[in-house]
Amino acid sequence: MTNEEIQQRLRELIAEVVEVEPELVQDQVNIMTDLGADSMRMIEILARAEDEFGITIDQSNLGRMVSLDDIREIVQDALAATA
Amino acid sequence: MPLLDGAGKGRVRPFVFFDTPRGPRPSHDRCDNVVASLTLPARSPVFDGHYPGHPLLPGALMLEAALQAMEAAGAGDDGQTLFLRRIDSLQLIRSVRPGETFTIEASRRGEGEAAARMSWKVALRDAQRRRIAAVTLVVSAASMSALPRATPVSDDGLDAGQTVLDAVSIVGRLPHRAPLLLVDRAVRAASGDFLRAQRAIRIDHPDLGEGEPTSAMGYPATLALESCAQAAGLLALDTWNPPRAGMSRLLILGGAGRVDIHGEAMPGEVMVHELRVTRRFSGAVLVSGTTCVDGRVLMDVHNLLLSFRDEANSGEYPPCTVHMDGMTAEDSCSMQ
Repeated sequence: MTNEEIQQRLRELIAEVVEVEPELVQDQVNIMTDLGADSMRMIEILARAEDEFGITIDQSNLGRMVSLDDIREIVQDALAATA
Repeated sequence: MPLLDGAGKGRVRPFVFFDTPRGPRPSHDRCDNVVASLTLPARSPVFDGHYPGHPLLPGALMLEAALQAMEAAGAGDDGQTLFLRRIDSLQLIRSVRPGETFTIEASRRGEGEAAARMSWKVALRDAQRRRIAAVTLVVSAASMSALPRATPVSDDGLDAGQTVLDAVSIVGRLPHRAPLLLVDRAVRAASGDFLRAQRAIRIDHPDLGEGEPTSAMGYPATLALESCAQAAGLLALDTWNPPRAGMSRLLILGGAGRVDIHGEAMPGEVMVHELRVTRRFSGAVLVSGTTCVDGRVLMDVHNLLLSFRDEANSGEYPPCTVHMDGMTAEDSCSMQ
């Protein structure tokens, strides 16, 4: 899976959770302050990303999940740990 | 044109939100979109139990209201009763209070994978069009037969250090009260991460508020989910400290990853929820598990998201007149 593929799947996943068009989920946009997600929705994004990619993400990463770029890095780390 | 009179006859409908339709509707048009507006009555048995002093519509009953709106609009082909079969994703974003008006918008996404199954996307919005809830669900018009249980009930996770939560302990931990306290007893593992909870189903359906038992006596899936979420709530706090004086602790269901509904519990049966914490965050948990009765699997739940929230006591909520809006489903049903 390329970085772009991961990024795009995460973009669609986040867009679905916060109900915005995927184009609005730009790489560095702050999902909580700019897209209106609360902490429950961030947990949902984490849980959905785990299901989507078949990985386990340590909950300590929740605080680092600010933007799409951050989440992609966390997912890549988890994929690397699974491989 | 015949009146549609079949809706809602084939299942138990807890807390009737929508009556059968008030007008003629051609039976041959397939309804692909439902828009309904509902003003919650200020006084409802729902709010007596959820929660005393903090009336909020439970998320599971938002689903029930949406199902009833779809049934009343004739979303089931030929106006059949709709049985909830699966929830693909559930997001509960904010709560609804007595007297508040909200809109239910449901649109058919296509056929489900099995015959007579329909997939729908449903959104609940408040008067400012803000999202209250969003859910993708699969319904069918056929009644269900539960799956046989593949593996016997396990004692996995229970051990000598387990805690038995009897009715008194449960009332001390959950803010729910009758008619919406839907857990009778639970046993929690010493680890705090596994729980088995039970709820006996009675023929007089004390959980159903003003709902009337009909010829169908199956316990509604929406209430089974609420019962399961309450049991999951008993896993949400690893250590129990009572809320500070003047505060109430509310259990909030934030959503679910996926719920598969295989069947309904019948009166006389005891639902057993076996639940495990899959993830614990500060102030919230993700819980997955299974609900069974007597060797049959009723429901599999994946990633129920629960959190407790302490709120200042608001006291008695203001009374206002009971009022339910008419539906606009007929205007929005598309003709095929």
